[in-house]
Amino acid sequence: MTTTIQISKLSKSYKKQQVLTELDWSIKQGDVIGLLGKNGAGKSTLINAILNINPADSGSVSLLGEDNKVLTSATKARIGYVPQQNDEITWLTVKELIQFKKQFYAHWNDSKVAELISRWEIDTNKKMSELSVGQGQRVLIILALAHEPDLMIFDEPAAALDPAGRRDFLKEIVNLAADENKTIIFSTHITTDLERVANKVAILHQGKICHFDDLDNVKENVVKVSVISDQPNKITIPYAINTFQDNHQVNGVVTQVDLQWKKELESQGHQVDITPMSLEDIFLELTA
Amino acid sequence: MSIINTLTKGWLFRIFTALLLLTAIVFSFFWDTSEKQSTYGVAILILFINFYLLGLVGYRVALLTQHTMAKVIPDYYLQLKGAVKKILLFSLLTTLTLLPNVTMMLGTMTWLLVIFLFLAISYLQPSVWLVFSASIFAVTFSSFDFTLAETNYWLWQVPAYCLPVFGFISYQVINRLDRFKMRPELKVRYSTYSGLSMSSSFNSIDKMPEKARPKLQQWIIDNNLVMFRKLLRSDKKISKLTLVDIASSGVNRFGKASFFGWSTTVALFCLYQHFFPLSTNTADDFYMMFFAMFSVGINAMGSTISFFTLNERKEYLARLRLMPLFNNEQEFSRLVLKVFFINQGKLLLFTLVSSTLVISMVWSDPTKLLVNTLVINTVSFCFFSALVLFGLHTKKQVKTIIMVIMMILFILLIPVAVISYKENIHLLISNTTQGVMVIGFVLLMLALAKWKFKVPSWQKLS
Amino acid sequence: MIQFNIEASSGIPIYKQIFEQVERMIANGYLVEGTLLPSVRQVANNIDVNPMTISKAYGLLEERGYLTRLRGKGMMVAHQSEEKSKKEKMMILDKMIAELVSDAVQMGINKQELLTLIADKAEQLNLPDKINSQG
Repeated sequence: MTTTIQISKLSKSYKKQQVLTELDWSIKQGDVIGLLGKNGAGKSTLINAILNINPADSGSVSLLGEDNKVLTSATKARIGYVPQQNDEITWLTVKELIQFKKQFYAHWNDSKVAELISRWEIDTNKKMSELSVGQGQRVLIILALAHEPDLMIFDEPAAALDPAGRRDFLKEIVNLAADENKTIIFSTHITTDLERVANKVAILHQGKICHFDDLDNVKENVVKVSVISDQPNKITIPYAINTFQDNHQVNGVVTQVDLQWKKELESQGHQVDITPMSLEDIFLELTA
Repeated sequence: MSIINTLTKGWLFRIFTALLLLTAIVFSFFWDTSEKQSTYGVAILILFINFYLLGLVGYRVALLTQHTMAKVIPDYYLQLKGAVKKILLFSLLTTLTLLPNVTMMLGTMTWLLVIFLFLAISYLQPSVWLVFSASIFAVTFSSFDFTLAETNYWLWQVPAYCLPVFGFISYQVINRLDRFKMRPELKVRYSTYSGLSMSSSFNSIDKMPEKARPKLQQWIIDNNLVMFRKLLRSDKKISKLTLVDIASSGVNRFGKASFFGWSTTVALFCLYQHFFPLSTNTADDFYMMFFAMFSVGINAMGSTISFFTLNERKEYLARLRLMPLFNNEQEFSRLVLKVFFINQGKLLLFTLVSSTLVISMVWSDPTKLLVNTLVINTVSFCFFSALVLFGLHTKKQVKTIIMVIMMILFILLIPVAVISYKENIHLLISNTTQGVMVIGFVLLMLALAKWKFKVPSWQKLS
Repeated sequence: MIQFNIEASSGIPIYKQIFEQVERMIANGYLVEGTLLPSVRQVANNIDVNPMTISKAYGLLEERGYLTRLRGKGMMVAHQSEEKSKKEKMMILDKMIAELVSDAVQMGINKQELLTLIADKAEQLNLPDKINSQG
């Protein structure tokens, strides 16, 4: 599989605050990635740096095989982006805005636009400034999908949507993901949004992608291990990122289960329990 | 929707531009080439049209350059630059109305490019507007005597030779559109201005975040509302009237600071007049024009503000009127009326007092002018107030109609003021004016009667 | 169509949940040999889950011999050899019993009590002592 995005040593700071520190990340074609991060972790900064909307201080980004600072029009036409803030031209109606955007693209799926508009019940005669936040966001999503890009980047796309709208949006991503050539990245701080649709999860923490793996692997590897023992302070759990103990039990969250170690302990008569964790708990543990 | 369409969207804007252009063309057909003044008139009209056109389109261009998606959409800047070039070319073509006078045409083109460059700078640094206003003020009211031969040289000949230079600079500026970097608060401000329709931009100005506003405006708003804040913080009992006043006040309220601002303007005007007194008839006309606009303008502005603010707050007032504090609907609407008239009264008083002061200082024989100003003020007061009251009372959303009628009134009243002065007409004893005054008075009474006998509809329709 | 019951925010990966549900449906005879399973796309759309996750589950089921891939038609429930299916069944039961025992330990129930409980339940449901023939 080819690499869609290659990021190396990306750094960005605002005034005195370092947001991204020499971030490296490589994204393969066909991945559906949920980019997780706490509020203020720099998800938008990262996305803006990837798309060169707000250029990074140093480092390089290659998008679809081209340096992001000198993207050709052909490559730009293959990118779809939904910004976090609705920055669309306020004085145009939705209908006009769609036409405005359309002129820039050689390929534009009118029937798809019409379908989404009727499905999401958008009044196209209203101006962008008159739409509710949720409706506005839906329009942005439609605009980003209309030219059927190969790489889609959504910055908190579901933030302003109600549960039904969210589900519907995720459904749309599921449909897109069926095409294995499409790469999708969406940032969120709501883990349940990505659990169904993402196949990979990236966690942005302290300026770096601190964890990037298959969602299934993450769930299988990052688990809670507890050992029941009479001498809990003699037991150290391997690969643990966080341990706590009480009188007869040691608990720890590990990034990997050491089966050898588990067998050993069990042969010594200790009881070792492994409990899976929800992505939300995993996220909280990894960014603690 | 092409970019040019996007940039020039708005029927009011398009019609206005077209009408002005038509005027210029008609003028250029009928002008007397021997009379320099009329050619100057067309040149100035052309410049004015383009100032209006480029100025408003510019806000949109400035906003589009800052669009988040700009770097993601293919060929975005390329097309934007193309559209700006085309619009500027169109602007330059309007100077064709000045042919056969080639020098003047080329000179006007240069001035036009100067305007374009000035606007381009102003979007980055809005404070240049202060410099601009000051220089316009100085030129308009200067005692400088126009000797035609000399003006011709400096106004058109020299600029005509400079055209290539300015053309080159403008071209370079357009080609660097993608490097434009604007302060974020300006972006918010411009998106408010870019609506190009008065009613929508008025409402959004009302909602514009305080930080995005120009400093002076922030100060004025703050000071206009400061007494309310003080009152609300104190333990004093707030009267029902004040309560309604607070509820129906927007940031555009004409308050202490606004009156102070206008008084300062008038005072500056007087001072200027004192040091650089009138010298020619032309300048005299400018004064008259300024005065007519000032009187009618303040009345129109105050009424417009009251109307839009109250109209926007209808929903809120509708809820307020249900409070047990008010005995019944009639009492509430009476209070709203009272607040409206108190604010209108303050405005009328202010214009009358300042007009009287200025007129008696500037003109040697002020009585007639004074009476005329009084008449114009009273007439505009009656008409504007009646309009606002009718507009607020109905169930329908009549925002646009009210706005258009107000603009027509405004545009009609100024020539009346100027003509009455130029033609030496006593407005008070003219039959037409008397008729108009009676009509205005009757309309106002009708509006009042409507409010008295029928509770206005507080329902808000968007 | 098969209804999957997915709990996205549980710690168990979705592909595993699907895998286990199909496994169970085959073991308890709900899905018989030759049944065509809905396509990856259908399932993905139905339960709003990334299609790759479904493919992964189907792939694993194929690998374990539960399903066979029919060219152009999709996935079909494979023939389960008696011996193998018995083994699978025992494995599933084993897993469930492990959970049961662990819960019982936590509740402080001893071995004898638990066994009695199971025997009683078996009696209630008329569980035969020996299975004579299939069916």
